[in-house]
Order: sequence, then C-alpha cells, then structure tokens
Amino acid sequence: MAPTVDLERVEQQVWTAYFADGLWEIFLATLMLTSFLRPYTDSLWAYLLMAGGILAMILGKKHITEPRLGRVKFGPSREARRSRLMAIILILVIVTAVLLALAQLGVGVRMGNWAGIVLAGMVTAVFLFTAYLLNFRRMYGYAWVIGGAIFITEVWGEAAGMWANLIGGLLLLATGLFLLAQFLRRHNVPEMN
Amino acid sequence: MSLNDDPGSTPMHPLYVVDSADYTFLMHHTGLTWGNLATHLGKLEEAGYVAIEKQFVDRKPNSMVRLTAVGRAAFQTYKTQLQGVFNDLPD
Repeated sequence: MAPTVDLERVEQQVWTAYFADGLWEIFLATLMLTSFLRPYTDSLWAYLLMAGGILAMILGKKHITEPRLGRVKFGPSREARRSRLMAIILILVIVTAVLLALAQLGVGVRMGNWAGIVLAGMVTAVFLFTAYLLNFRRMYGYAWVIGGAIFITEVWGEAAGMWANLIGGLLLLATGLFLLAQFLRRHNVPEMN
Repeated sequence: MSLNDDPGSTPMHPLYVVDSADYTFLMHHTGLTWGNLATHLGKLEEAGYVAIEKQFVDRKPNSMVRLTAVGRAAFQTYKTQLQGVFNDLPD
C-alpha cells in the first residue's frame, strides 16, 4: 500500500529541523551570561561575550547546520510570518524604547520602578511572539526564563538578578550543547559525488 | 517517470512544501544517494516538473531545485488521485 503523506507535517518537520541544532539556545545563553557578567567585569568583556554568541550562531548555521541539512528557501506563508515577526519586534522595541526614554526624562509617563517591569514584560512578549511566529515551541519556555530574570533583577535587585541570569544562562547553555551534540550525532555531512 | 515511483523517496514531496532547496536538503529528506537523486531530478527536469538553477555559494557550486508550475500542478493532481483511492476504500 502506498503511504499517504501529510504535507503540512512534512513542511513543519522541515522547518523545525533547522531549530534542532541547539544554536539558538547557545546564543540566548550568551545573552543571559552577559547580563550576569556585566556587573563583575569591564562592560567590554561582557559585550565581547555577547558578540561571540552572535558570531557562534551565524558561523554555526553556516558551517554546521547548512552542510548537514542543506539550503532551503521556504514558501510565501513562512516568509510572510517572518515579515510579521520583524514588524512586531520592531514595534515592541520602539514602544519599549519610547516608554523608557519618557520615564527617564520624566516626561508624560511617571513609571518609577515600573519601568523595569515594563521592560521585562516587553522582552518576554518579544520572545513569545518570536516563538509563535517561528513555530519554535521551546522558545515559549525561554521567553519566561529570560523575562523572568529581568523581572527578578528589577523587583529583588541586582544580586538576585545575577543569580537568575547565571542559572538561566547555564540551563540554556547545557540545553544548547546537548542539542548540538545530538544534532551532530544524528546528521553527517552527506557525501557528494 | 511517474510521480509515485517509490513515494517515500521521491524529491517531489519535500519540494512541494518549500519554495526551493539544494541537493543536500533533498538527500536528507528522501534518503537517496547523490547519484540516485541526480538521476531522479534529471528525469523530473526532462519532464518539465522541476527547474534546476546552478549558482555559486562561497565560490562552491550549489544547485537550487524548485518545482515548476507544471510540476506543482502534476503533484496536486497526483495528491488528489491518491486521496480519491483511499477515500474509495471500504473501512
């Protein structure tokens, strides 16, 4: 009997395969570990770590994921979702920046301690939207971990926030490295003749 | 070549759900070797079902394959016919 093929499921599997390499987790871990390190070290080192995370993600996608899974261009519906995601993130970043700037200047909005909590909410929202629009389910969890660390920093102070960032960052790093090892074990670079 | 030659390994399924993809992607999703895939794609190209665009990525040759309008329509017909066969079967 010829097997029936659920094409939507095939498309979903194809899409999620590109998130199975653990590189997103490693990148998000460097963001949290940067927040942990910043009060301890010169800001430059912390930002270098963040740049390292971004570089690891770009180079990893190019030299680890792509040779194993190949290059693919997704259809118009995925592209539309990606454009919507960019628009939403841009709006949220602008709204957050304006609110924080107004609060700093004391113009119009008097947010006081609420500024940090609003920031935590906005960051969580950005990651939740990203998870939704990318169909990247694990990111729903990461949104709460990252947003939660910012919330803890704002409500209980920097010391508590540093612990939250360290624990969250190490959890994400461990998850990312585990997924990366699993990905490398499962996918070899195919032989081309 | 017909579209239902070994449905599990035809490159038509993965190509139908994306815009275009390279050989590595298709090898990964069909389980075919490079040689078998090249033969499959050659026949599909001859039939006008796929278009192969050769390009260079980082100075390395890379071919992107996409379904043509004819190929997409043929696959849709095949899919409808296949669904019809299963709908007609008794429970």
